Amino acid sequence: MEKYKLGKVIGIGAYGIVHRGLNLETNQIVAIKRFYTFDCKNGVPYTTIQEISMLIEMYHINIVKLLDVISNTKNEWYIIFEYLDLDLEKYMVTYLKDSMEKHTIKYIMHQILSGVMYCHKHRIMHRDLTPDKLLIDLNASVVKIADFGMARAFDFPLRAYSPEVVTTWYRAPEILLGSPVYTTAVDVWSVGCIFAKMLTRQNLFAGASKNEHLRKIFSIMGTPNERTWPGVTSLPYYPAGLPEYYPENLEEFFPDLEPAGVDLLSEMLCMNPARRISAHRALQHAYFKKKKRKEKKEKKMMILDPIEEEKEEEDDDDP
Amino acid sequence: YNQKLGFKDDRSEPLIDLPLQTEESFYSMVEREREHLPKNDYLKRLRSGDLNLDLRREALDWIWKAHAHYSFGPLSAYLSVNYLDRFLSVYELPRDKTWAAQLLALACLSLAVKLEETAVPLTVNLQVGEPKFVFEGKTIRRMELVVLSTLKWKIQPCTPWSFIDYFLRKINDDHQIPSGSLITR
Repeated sequence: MEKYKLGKVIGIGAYGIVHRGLNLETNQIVAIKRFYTFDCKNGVPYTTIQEISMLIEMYHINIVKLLDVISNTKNEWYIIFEYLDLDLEKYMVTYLKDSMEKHTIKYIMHQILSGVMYCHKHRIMHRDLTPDKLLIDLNASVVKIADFGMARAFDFPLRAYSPEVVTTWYRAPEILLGSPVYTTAVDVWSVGCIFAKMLTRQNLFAGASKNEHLRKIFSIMGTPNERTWPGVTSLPYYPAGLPEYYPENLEEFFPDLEPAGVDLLSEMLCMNPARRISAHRALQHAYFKKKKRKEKKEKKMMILDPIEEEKEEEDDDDP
Repeated sequence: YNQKLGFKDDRSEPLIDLPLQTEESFYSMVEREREHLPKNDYLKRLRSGDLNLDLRREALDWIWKAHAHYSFGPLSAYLSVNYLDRFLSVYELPRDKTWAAQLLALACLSLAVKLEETAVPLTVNLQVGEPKFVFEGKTIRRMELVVLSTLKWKIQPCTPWSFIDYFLRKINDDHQIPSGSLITR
Protein backbone atom coordinates (compact mmCIF):
# COMPACT_ATOMS: atom_id res chain seq x y z
CA MET A 1 0.00 0.00 0.00
CA GLU A 2 3.04 2.31 0.00
CA LYS A 3 2.10 3.26 -3.52
CA TYR A 4 -1.17 4.85 -2.45
CA LYS A 5 -2.25 7.47 0.02
CA LEU A 6 -5.67 7.01 1.62
CA GLY A 7 -7.85 10.10 1.59
CA LYS A 8 -11.30 10.84 2.96
CA VAL A 9 -14.03 8.24 3.09
CA ILE A 10 -16.44 8.52 0.17
CA GLY A 11 -18.63 5.50 0.78
CA ILE A 12 -19.43 2.79 3.29
CA GLY A 13 -21.00 -0.54 2.44
CA ALA A 14 -21.54 -4.02 3.76
CA TYR A 15 -18.34 -5.20 2.11
CA GLY A 16 -16.02 -2.45 3.31
CA ILE A 17 -15.15 1.22 3.04
CA VAL A 18 -14.36 3.34 -0.01
CA HIS A 19 -11.77 6.08 0.21
CA ARG A 20 -10.57 8.68 -2.16
CA GLY A 21 -6.90 8.11 -2.67
CA LEU A 22 -3.81 9.13 -4.51
CA ASN A 23 -1.36 7.03 -6.48
CA LEU A 24 1.90 8.53 -5.22
CA GLU A 25 3.82 7.36 -8.27
CA THR A 26 1.56 8.78 -10.95
CA ASN A 27 -0.38 11.41 -8.99
CA GLN A 28 -3.54 9.83 -10.31
CA ILE A 29 -6.58 10.21 -8.09
CA VAL A 30 -8.15 6.85 -7.41
CA ALA A 31 -10.95 5.25 -5.43
CA ILE A 32 -9.74 2.72 -2.86
CA LYS A 33 -12.06 0.05 -1.57
CA ARG A 34 -10.91 -1.35 1.73
CA PHE A 35 -12.36 -4.72 2.63
CA TYR A 36 -13.20 -5.99 6.03
CA THR A 37 -11.15 -9.04 6.93
CA PHE A 38 -12.82 -12.35 6.56
CA ASP A 39 -13.44 -15.64 8.30
CA CYS A 40 -10.34 -17.77 8.63
CA LYS A 41 -11.63 -21.27 8.13
CA ASN A 42 -12.84 -20.51 4.69
CA GLY A 43 -10.00 -18.56 3.17
CA VAL A 44 -10.84 -15.75 0.75
CA PRO A 45 -14.66 -15.62 0.34
CA TYR A 46 -15.91 -16.95 -2.97
CA THR A 47 -18.00 -13.84 -3.62
CA THR A 48 -14.85 -11.75 -3.46
CA ILE A 49 -12.89 -14.13 -5.64
CA GLN A 50 -15.64 -14.10 -8.24
CA GLU A 51 -16.16 -10.36 -8.16
CA ILE A 52 -12.53 -9.33 -8.44
CA SER A 53 -11.53 -11.96 -10.96
CA MET A 54 -14.43 -10.86 -13.14
CA LEU A 55 -13.78 -7.15 -12.84
CA ILE A 56 -10.05 -7.38 -13.36
CA GLU A 57 -10.54 -8.67 -16.87
CA MET A 58 -13.28 -6.26 -17.86
CA TYR A 59 -12.02 -3.80 -20.37
CA HIS A 60 -14.77 -1.50 -21.54
CA ILE A 61 -14.89 2.22 -22.00
CA ASN A 62 -18.23 2.39 -20.17
CA ILE A 63 -17.09 0.50 -17.11
CA VAL A 64 -14.91 1.95 -14.40
CA LYS A 65 -11.53 0.30 -14.56
CA LEU A 66 -10.25 -1.80 -11.71
CA LEU A 67 -6.61 -0.77 -11.56
CA ASP A 68 -5.07 -2.89 -8.87
CA VAL A 69 -5.68 -5.32 -6.05
CA ILE A 70 -3.38 -5.07 -3.07
CA SER A 71 -3.19 -7.21 0.01
CA ASN A 72 -0.78 -6.83 2.89
CA THR A 73 0.59 -9.24 5.46
CA LYS A 74 -2.13 -8.32 7.92
CA ASN A 75 -4.64 -9.80 5.48
CA GLU A 76 -6.15 -6.42 4.84
CA TRP A 77 -6.71 -5.74 1.27
CA TYR A 78 -7.71 -3.07 -1.14
CA ILE A 79 -9.12 -2.67 -4.60
CA ILE A 80 -8.00 0.37 -6.55
CA PHE A 81 -10.42 1.86 -9.09
CA GLU A 82 -10.16 4.82 -11.38
CA TYR A 83 -11.91 7.79 -9.83
CA LEU A 84 -14.27 10.34 -11.34
CA ASP A 85 -15.95 12.93 -9.20
CA LEU A 86 -19.03 13.64 -11.27
CA ASP A 87 -21.93 11.21 -11.33
CA LEU A 88 -25.12 11.28 -13.36
CA GLU A 89 -27.15 12.44 -10.37
CA LYS A 90 -24.93 15.48 -9.87
CA TYR A 91 -24.60 16.01 -13.60
CA MET A 92 -28.37 16.33 -13.98
CA VAL A 93 -28.44 19.00 -11.30
CA THR A 94 -25.29 20.90 -12.24
CA TYR A 95 -25.75 20.84 -16.00
CA LEU A 96 -29.49 21.16 -15.99
CA LYS A 97 -29.88 22.40 -19.54
CA ASP A 98 -27.22 20.24 -21.24
CA SER A 99 -28.46 17.14 -19.56
CA MET A 100 -32.01 17.72 -20.79
CA GLU A 101 -30.93 17.83 -24.45
CA LYS A 102 -32.63 15.04 -26.35
CA HIS A 103 -29.42 14.06 -28.01
CA THR A 104 -27.47 14.03 -24.77
CA ILE A 105 -30.00 11.74 -23.16
CA LYS A 106 -29.86 9.39 -26.12
CA TYR A 107 -26.08 9.40 -26.06
CA ILE A 108 -25.91 8.72 -22.35
CA MET A 109 -28.47 5.94 -22.60
CA HIS A 110 -26.47 4.36 -25.39
CA GLN A 111 -23.35 4.35 -23.27
CA ILE A 112 -25.06 2.97 -20.19
CA LEU A 113 -26.60 0.17 -22.23
CA SER A 114 -23.25 -0.59 -23.87
CA GLY A 115 -21.65 -0.99 -20.46
CA VAL A 116 -24.55 -3.07 -19.20
CA MET A 117 -24.41 -5.30 -22.26
CA TYR A 118 -20.70 -5.85 -21.73
CA CYS A 119 -21.35 -6.85 -18.12
CA HIS A 120 -24.11 -9.24 -19.07
CA LYS A 121 -21.99 -10.73 -21.83
CA HIS A 122 -19.36 -11.43 -19.21
CA ARG A 123 -21.96 -12.90 -16.95
CA ILE A 124 -22.06 -10.11 -14.44
CA MET A 125 -25.21 -8.49 -13.14
CA HIS A 126 -24.74 -5.09 -11.58
CA ARG A 127 -27.99 -5.31 -9.59
CA ASP A 128 -27.75 -1.79 -8.23
CA LEU A 129 -27.79 0.65 -11.14
CA THR A 130 -28.78 4.14 -10.04
CA PRO A 131 -27.77 7.59 -11.35
CA ASP A 132 -25.18 8.02 -8.61
CA LYS A 133 -23.43 4.83 -9.72
CA LEU A 134 -22.91 6.16 -13.21
CA LEU A 135 -19.81 8.31 -13.36
CA ILE A 136 -19.25 10.96 -15.96
CA ASP A 137 -16.00 12.11 -17.47
CA LEU A 138 -16.93 15.44 -19.01
CA ASN A 139 -13.60 15.91 -20.79
CA ALA A 140 -13.77 12.62 -22.57
CA SER A 141 -17.58 12.64 -22.76
CA VAL A 142 -17.81 9.17 -21.36
CA VAL A 143 -20.22 7.56 -18.94
CA LYS A 144 -18.86 4.76 -16.80
CA ILE A 145 -20.69 2.23 -14.69
CA ALA A 146 -19.20 2.06 -11.22
CA ASP A 147 -19.68 0.47 -7.85
CA PHE A 148 -19.94 -3.21 -8.39
CA GLY A 149 -20.25 -3.70 -4.65
CA MET A 150 -23.56 -5.43 -5.18
CA ALA A 151 -22.62 -7.01 -8.45
CA ARG A 152 -22.82 -10.67 -8.75
CA ALA A 153 -21.37 -13.17 -11.14
CA PHE A 154 -24.07 -15.42 -12.42
CA ASP A 155 -24.07 -18.93 -13.69
CA PHE A 156 -26.33 -21.36 -15.43
CA PRO A 157 -28.46 -22.34 -13.71
CA LEU A 158 -29.04 -19.09 -11.92
CA ARG A 159 -28.88 -19.47 -8.19
CA ALA A 160 -31.14 -17.89 -5.65
CA TYR A 161 -29.99 -14.41 -4.68
CA SER A 162 -30.54 -12.19 -1.71
CA PRO A 163 -33.74 -10.20 -2.17
CA GLU A 164 -32.72 -6.76 -0.92
CA VAL A 165 -30.22 -5.51 -3.43
CA VAL A 166 -31.27 -2.70 -5.72
CA THR A 167 -31.79 0.76 -4.30
CA THR A 168 -35.50 1.46 -4.10
CA TRP A 169 -37.16 3.27 -7.02
CA TYR A 170 -34.81 1.64 -9.54
CA ARG A 171 -35.67 -1.81 -8.27
CA ALA A 172 -37.24 -4.27 -10.69
CA PRO A 173 -40.71 -5.61 -9.86
CA GLU A 174 -39.49 -9.23 -9.67
CA ILE A 175 -37.18 -8.22 -6.81
CA LEU A 176 -39.90 -6.22 -5.07
CA LEU A 177 -42.23 -9.20 -5.38
CA GLY A 178 -39.64 -11.40 -3.71
CA SER A 179 -38.69 -13.67 -6.60
CA PRO A 180 -35.78 -15.78 -5.35
CA VAL A 181 -34.32 -16.12 -8.82
CA TYR A 182 -33.69 -13.25 -11.13
CA THR A 183 -31.76 -12.44 -14.23
CA THR A 184 -29.88 -9.72 -16.05
CA ALA A 185 -33.30 -8.21 -16.75
CA VAL A 186 -33.15 -6.47 -13.33
CA ASP A 187 -30.43 -4.18 -14.69
CA VAL A 188 -32.45 -3.31 -17.78
CA TRP A 189 -35.38 -2.24 -15.59
CA SER A 190 -33.06 0.04 -13.61
CA VAL A 191 -31.73 1.58 -16.81
CA GLY A 192 -35.34 2.17 -17.88
CA CYS A 193 -35.98 4.04 -14.63
CA ILE A 194 -32.82 6.09 -15.16
CA PHE A 195 -34.02 6.90 -18.69
CA ALA A 196 -37.33 8.14 -17.28
CA LYS A 197 -35.55 10.18 -14.64
CA MET A 198 -33.35 11.86 -17.24
CA LEU A 199 -36.36 12.78 -19.33
CA THR A 200 -38.47 14.35 -16.63
CA ARG A 201 -36.20 14.68 -13.57
CA GLN A 202 -38.85 12.79 -11.67
CA ASN A 203 -38.69 9.25 -10.42
CA LEU A 204 -41.40 7.51 -12.40
CA PHE A 205 -42.03 4.98 -9.66
CA ALA A 206 -41.39 6.82 -6.42
CA GLY A 207 -43.06 5.36 -3.38
CA ALA A 208 -42.38 5.80 0.32
CA SER A 209 -42.75 2.11 1.12
CA LYS A 210 -42.33 -1.07 -0.85
CA ASN A 211 -46.08 -1.49 -1.22
CA GLU A 212 -46.49 2.11 -2.24
CA HIS A 213 -43.72 1.59 -4.77
CA LEU A 214 -45.36 -1.54 -6.17
CA ARG A 215 -48.74 0.17 -6.35
CA LYS A 216 -47.13 3.02 -8.28
CA ILE A 217 -45.52 0.62 -10.75
CA PHE A 218 -48.77 -1.31 -11.21
CA SER A 219 -50.79 1.88 -11.64
CA ILE A 220 -48.61 2.91 -14.59
CA MET A 221 -47.52 -0.37 -16.14
CA GLY A 222 -50.69 -2.28 -15.29
CA THR A 223 -51.27 -4.92 -12.62
CA PRO A 224 -49.48 -8.09 -13.76
CA ASN A 225 -51.47 -11.30 -13.90
CA GLU A 226 -50.90 -14.93 -14.84
CA ARG A 227 -51.52 -14.11 -18.47
CA THR A 228 -49.02 -11.26 -18.79
CA TRP A 229 -46.52 -12.79 -16.40
CA PRO A 230 -46.95 -16.50 -15.67
CA GLY A 231 -46.16 -17.30 -12.05
CA VAL A 232 -46.40 -13.74 -10.79
CA THR A 233 -49.33 -14.32 -8.45
CA SER A 234 -47.45 -16.97 -6.50
CA LEU A 235 -44.44 -14.75 -5.82
CA PRO A 236 -43.97 -14.23 -2.05
CA TYR A 237 -44.86 -10.53 -1.93
CA TYR A 238 -47.55 -10.42 -4.56
CA PRO A 239 -49.91 -7.97 -2.91
CA ALA A 240 -53.46 -9.03 -2.28
CA GLY A 241 -56.27 -6.57 -2.83
CA LEU A 242 -54.60 -4.16 -5.21
CA PRO A 243 -56.89 -2.82 -7.90
CA GLU A 244 -56.62 -4.22 -11.42
CA TYR A 245 -54.81 -1.34 -13.04
CA TYR A 246 -54.66 -1.14 -16.80
CA PRO A 247 -51.38 -0.08 -18.37
CA GLU A 248 -51.19 3.65 -18.93
CA ASN A 249 -50.03 5.15 -22.19
CA LEU A 250 -46.41 6.06 -21.49
CA GLU A 251 -46.55 8.77 -24.17
CA GLU A 252 -48.61 10.89 -21.81
CA PHE A 253 -45.87 10.81 -19.22
CA PHE A 254 -43.16 11.73 -21.73
CA PRO A 255 -44.76 14.15 -24.19
CA ASP A 256 -41.39 15.35 -25.52
CA LEU A 257 -39.99 11.91 -26.19
CA GLU A 258 -39.99 10.66 -29.78
CA PRO A 259 -42.20 7.60 -30.44
CA ALA A 260 -39.21 5.24 -30.80
CA GLY A 261 -38.01 6.37 -27.37
CA VAL A 262 -41.39 5.71 -25.81
CA ASP A 263 -41.37 2.28 -27.38
CA LEU A 264 -37.91 1.46 -26.06
CA LEU A 265 -38.79 2.72 -22.60
CA SER A 266 -41.90 0.57 -22.48
CA GLU A 267 -39.86 -2.47 -23.53
CA MET A 268 -37.32 -1.81 -20.82
CA LEU A 269 -40.08 -1.39 -18.26
CA CYS A 270 -41.84 -4.58 -19.28
CA MET A 271 -43.13 -6.11 -16.05
CA ASN A 272 -42.43 -9.70 -17.01
CA PRO A 273 -38.64 -10.12 -16.80
CA ALA A 274 -38.68 -12.94 -19.35
CA ARG A 275 -40.20 -10.58 -21.91
CA ARG A 276 -38.20 -7.49 -21.00
CA ILE A 277 -35.83 -6.32 -23.72
CA SER A 278 -32.18 -7.26 -23.26
CA ALA A 279 -29.42 -4.66 -23.26
CA HIS A 280 -28.16 -6.16 -26.49
CA ARG A 281 -31.52 -5.79 -28.25
CA ALA A 282 -32.10 -2.37 -26.72
CA LEU A 283 -28.93 -1.12 -28.40
CA GLN A 284 -30.33 -2.20 -31.76
CA HIS A 285 -33.62 -0.44 -31.11
CA ALA A 286 -34.87 2.13 -33.60
CA TYR A 287 -34.42 4.85 -30.96
CA PHE A 288 -30.67 4.63 -31.47
CA LYS A 289 -30.73 4.61 -35.25
CA LYS A 290 -29.79 7.98 -36.53
CA LYS A 291 -32.37 9.57 -38.75
CA LYS A 292 -30.83 10.51 -42.05
CA ARG A 293 -30.37 14.23 -42.65
CA LYS A 294 -33.27 15.18 -40.43
CA GLU A 295 -31.34 15.72 -37.23
CA LYS A 296 -28.19 16.96 -38.87
CA LYS A 297 -28.89 20.54 -38.02
CA GLU A 298 -29.53 19.82 -34.41
CA LYS A 299 -27.22 21.62 -32.08
CA LYS A 300 -23.88 19.92 -32.01
CA MET A 301 -23.51 17.86 -28.94
CA MET A 302 -20.70 18.34 -26.53
CA ILE A 303 -19.90 14.72 -27.07
CA LEU A 304 -18.96 12.68 -30.09
CA ASP A 305 -21.71 10.66 -31.57
CA PRO A 306 -21.33 6.89 -31.51
CA ILE A 307 -24.76 6.07 -32.79
CA GLU A 308 -24.65 4.18 -36.01
CA GLU A 309 -26.06 5.48 -39.21
CA GLU A 310 -29.34 3.89 -40.01
CA LYS A 311 -28.71 0.84 -42.08
CA GLU A 312 -30.51 0.24 -45.32
CA GLU A 313 -32.03 -2.89 -43.96
CA GLU A 314 -33.10 -3.27 -40.40
CA ASP A 315 -31.09 -5.71 -38.37
CA ASP A 316 -32.81 -8.97 -37.89
CA ASP A 317 -34.08 -8.81 -34.37
CA ASP A 318 -34.16 -12.52 -33.76
CA PRO A 319 -30.91 -13.90 -32.48
CA TYR B 1 -40.40 -24.10 -4.91
CA ASN B 2 -38.95 -22.72 -8.09
CA GLN B 3 -41.63 -24.62 -9.92
CA LYS B 4 -44.14 -21.99 -8.90
CA LEU B 5 -42.19 -19.20 -10.49
CA GLY B 6 -43.38 -19.69 -13.99
CA PHE B 7 -40.20 -18.47 -15.59
CA LYS B 8 -38.20 -21.39 -14.30
CA ASP B 9 -38.25 -23.18 -17.61
CA ASP B 10 -37.12 -20.24 -19.63
CA ARG B 11 -35.05 -18.50 -17.02
CA SER B 12 -31.99 -18.57 -19.22
CA GLU B 13 -33.94 -16.88 -21.98
CA PRO B 14 -32.61 -13.36 -21.40
CA LEU B 15 -29.14 -14.84 -21.45
CA ILE B 16 -29.20 -16.78 -24.69
CA ASP B 17 -30.15 -13.55 -26.38
CA LEU B 18 -26.64 -12.30 -25.72
CA PRO B 19 -24.08 -12.21 -28.50
CA LEU B 20 -22.05 -14.87 -26.80
CA GLN B 21 -20.55 -16.60 -29.75
CA THR B 22 -19.89 -14.09 -32.47
CA GLU B 23 -16.73 -14.22 -34.55
CA GLU B 24 -15.51 -11.24 -32.58
CA SER B 25 -15.88 -12.94 -29.25
CA PHE B 26 -14.20 -16.02 -30.69
CA TYR B 27 -11.11 -14.00 -31.53
CA SER B 28 -11.18 -12.37 -28.14
CA MET B 29 -11.33 -15.82 -26.57
CA VAL B 30 -8.26 -16.87 -28.52
CA GLU B 31 -6.51 -13.71 -27.35
CA ARG B 32 -7.62 -14.25 -23.80
CA GLU B 33 -6.52 -17.86 -23.80
CA ARG B 34 -2.94 -16.70 -24.22
CA GLU B 35 -3.14 -14.58 -21.09
CA HIS B 36 -3.94 -17.63 -19.03
CA LEU B 37 -1.12 -19.95 -19.99
CA PRO B 38 2.10 -20.78 -18.12
CA LYS B 39 5.22 -18.95 -19.26
CA ASN B 40 6.66 -20.13 -22.57
CA ASP B 41 9.70 -21.85 -21.12
CA TYR B 42 7.71 -23.79 -18.52
CA LEU B 43 7.63 -27.10 -20.37
CA LYS B 44 11.31 -26.89 -21.22
CA ARG B 45 12.22 -26.19 -17.62
CA LEU B 46 10.13 -29.10 -16.39
CA ARG B 47 11.76 -31.47 -18.88
CA SER B 48 15.28 -30.32 -18.20
CA GLY B 49 14.84 -30.83 -14.48
CA ASP B 50 15.22 -27.13 -13.79
CA LEU B 51 11.79 -27.42 -12.20
CA ASN B 52 10.93 -30.38 -10.04
CA LEU B 53 8.65 -32.63 -12.06
CA ASP B 54 8.01 -34.96 -9.12
CA LEU B 55 6.77 -32.07 -7.04
CA ARG B 56 4.25 -31.24 -9.72
CA ARG B 57 3.21 -34.87 -10.04
CA GLU B 58 2.64 -35.16 -6.30
CA ALA B 59 0.62 -31.97 -6.25
CA LEU B 60 -1.54 -33.20 -9.13
CA ASP B 61 -2.01 -36.60 -7.53
CA TRP B 62 -3.37 -34.98 -4.42
CA ILE B 63 -5.63 -32.67 -6.41
CA TRP B 64 -7.17 -35.66 -8.24
CA LYS B 65 -7.70 -37.40 -4.93
CA ALA B 66 -9.49 -34.52 -3.23
CA HIS B 67 -11.35 -33.77 -6.43
CA ALA B 68 -12.67 -37.34 -6.64
CA HIS B 69 -13.48 -37.40 -2.95
CA TYR B 70 -15.90 -34.49 -3.33
CA SER B 71 -17.02 -35.44 -6.86
CA PHE B 72 -16.27 -31.96 -8.17
CA GLY B 73 -16.88 -31.18 -11.83
CA PRO B 74 -14.25 -31.42 -14.58
CA LEU B 75 -13.82 -27.66 -14.83
CA SER B 76 -12.62 -27.47 -11.22
CA ALA B 77 -9.85 -29.92 -12.01
CA TYR B 78 -8.91 -28.03 -15.15
CA LEU B 79 -8.77 -24.72 -13.29
CA SER B 80 -6.71 -26.12 -10.40
CA VAL B 81 -4.06 -27.44 -12.76
CA ASN B 82 -4.11 -24.23 -14.77
CA TYR B 83 -3.40 -22.19 -11.62
CA LEU B 84 -0.76 -24.64 -10.44
CA ASP B 85 1.19 -24.63 -13.70
CA ARG B 86 0.96 -20.89 -14.15
CA PHE B 87 2.09 -20.34 -10.60
CA LEU B 88 5.04 -22.73 -10.88
CA SER B 89 6.13 -21.13 -14.14
CA VAL B 90 6.71 -17.77 -12.46
CA TYR B 91 7.21 -18.47 -8.78
CA GLU B 92 10.14 -20.32 -7.25
CA LEU B 93 8.91 -22.62 -4.48
CA PRO B 94 11.51 -23.31 -1.78
CA ARG B 95 13.06 -26.62 -2.85
CA ASP B 96 13.78 -27.96 0.58
CA LYS B 97 10.26 -27.41 1.85
CA THR B 98 8.11 -30.25 0.58
CA TRP B 99 5.06 -28.89 2.36
CA ALA B 100 5.06 -25.89 0.04
CA ALA B 101 3.88 -27.90 -2.94
CA GLN B 102 1.07 -29.41 -0.89
CA LEU B 103 -0.01 -25.98 0.30
CA LEU B 104 0.07 -24.69 -3.26
CA ALA B 105 -2.02 -27.61 -4.53
CA LEU B 106 -4.51 -26.98 -1.75
CA ALA B 107 -4.78 -23.26 -2.51
CA CYS B 108 -5.24 -23.91 -6.23
CA LEU B 109 -7.99 -26.45 -5.69
CA SER B 110 -9.65 -24.23 -3.13
CA LEU B 111 -9.75 -21.25 -5.50
CA ALA B 112 -11.00 -23.40 -8.36
CA VAL B 113 -13.89 -24.90 -6.45
CA LYS B 114 -14.92 -21.55 -4.98
CA LEU B 115 -15.14 -20.20 -8.48
CA GLU B 116 -16.77 -23.17 -10.08
CA GLU B 117 -18.70 -25.38 -7.68
CA THR B 118 -22.09 -24.59 -6.21
CA ALA B 119 -21.57 -26.68 -3.07
CA VAL B 120 -18.21 -25.77 -1.61
CA PRO B 121 -16.87 -27.45 1.55
CA LEU B 122 -15.02 -25.38 4.13
CA THR B 123 -11.54 -24.71 2.81
CA VAL B 124 -9.84 -26.51 5.70
CA ASN B 125 -11.99 -29.56 5.02
CA LEU B 126 -10.59 -29.89 1.52
CA GLN B 127 -7.59 -31.62 3.06
CA VAL B 128 -8.65 -35.20 2.45
CA GLY B 129 -6.79 -38.25 1.15
CA GLU B 130 -4.27 -38.33 3.99
CA PRO B 131 -1.98 -35.54 2.87
CA LYS B 132 1.45 -35.46 4.49
CA PHE B 133 0.82 -31.98 5.84
CA VAL B 134 -2.33 -30.36 7.15
CA PHE B 135 -2.66 -26.60 7.25
CA GLU B 136 -4.62 -24.10 9.29
CA GLY B 137 -7.23 -21.87 7.72
CA LYS B 138 -5.18 -18.72 7.95
CA THR B 139 -2.17 -20.37 6.29
CA ILE B 140 -4.36 -21.50 3.40
CA ARG B 141 -5.85 -18.05 3.08
CA ARG B 142 -2.39 -16.53 2.96
CA MET B 143 -1.42 -18.95 0.21
CA GLU B 144 -4.64 -18.23 -1.70
CA LEU B 145 -3.73 -14.57 -1.69
CA VAL B 146 -0.18 -15.34 -2.85
CA VAL B 147 -1.59 -17.38 -5.74
CA LEU B 148 -4.18 -14.73 -6.57
CA SER B 149 -1.67 -11.92 -6.68
CA THR B 150 0.91 -14.02 -8.56
CA LEU B 151 -1.74 -14.81 -11.18
CA LYS B 152 -2.78 -11.14 -11.03
CA TRP B 153 -6.30 -12.32 -10.13
CA LYS B 154 -6.74 -13.58 -13.68
CA ILE B 155 -8.30 -16.82 -12.66
CA GLN B 156 -11.11 -17.13 -15.16
CA PRO B 157 -9.30 -18.53 -18.17
CA CYS B 158 -10.81 -19.53 -21.45
CA THR B 159 -11.03 -23.28 -21.31
CA PRO B 160 -11.81 -25.94 -23.90
CA TRP B 161 -15.38 -25.63 -22.65
CA SER B 162 -15.47 -22.01 -23.69
CA PHE B 163 -14.86 -23.04 -27.27
CA ILE B 164 -17.29 -25.94 -27.41
CA ASP B 165 -20.35 -23.80 -28.04
CA TYR B 166 -18.68 -21.94 -30.82
CA PHE B 167 -17.64 -25.06 -32.67
CA LEU B 168 -20.92 -26.83 -31.99
CA ARG B 169 -22.67 -23.97 -33.67
CA LYS B 170 -20.21 -23.94 -36.56
CA ILE B 171 -20.81 -27.59 -37.35
CA ASN B 172 -24.54 -26.93 -37.11
CA ASP B 173 -24.43 -24.38 -39.93
CA ASP B 174 -24.62 -21.48 -37.51
CA HIS B 175 -28.02 -22.47 -36.25
CA GLN B 176 -28.62 -21.55 -32.67
CA ILE B 177 -28.17 -24.66 -30.59
CA PRO B 178 -30.79 -25.32 -27.94
CA SER B 179 -30.06 -23.62 -24.66
CA GLY B 180 -29.89 -26.97 -22.91
CA SER B 181 -26.51 -27.57 -24.44
CA LEU B 182 -25.09 -24.26 -23.35
CA ILE B 183 -22.14 -24.99 -21.17
CA THR B 184 -21.04 -22.70 -18.42
CA ARG B 185 -17.87 -20.79 -19.13
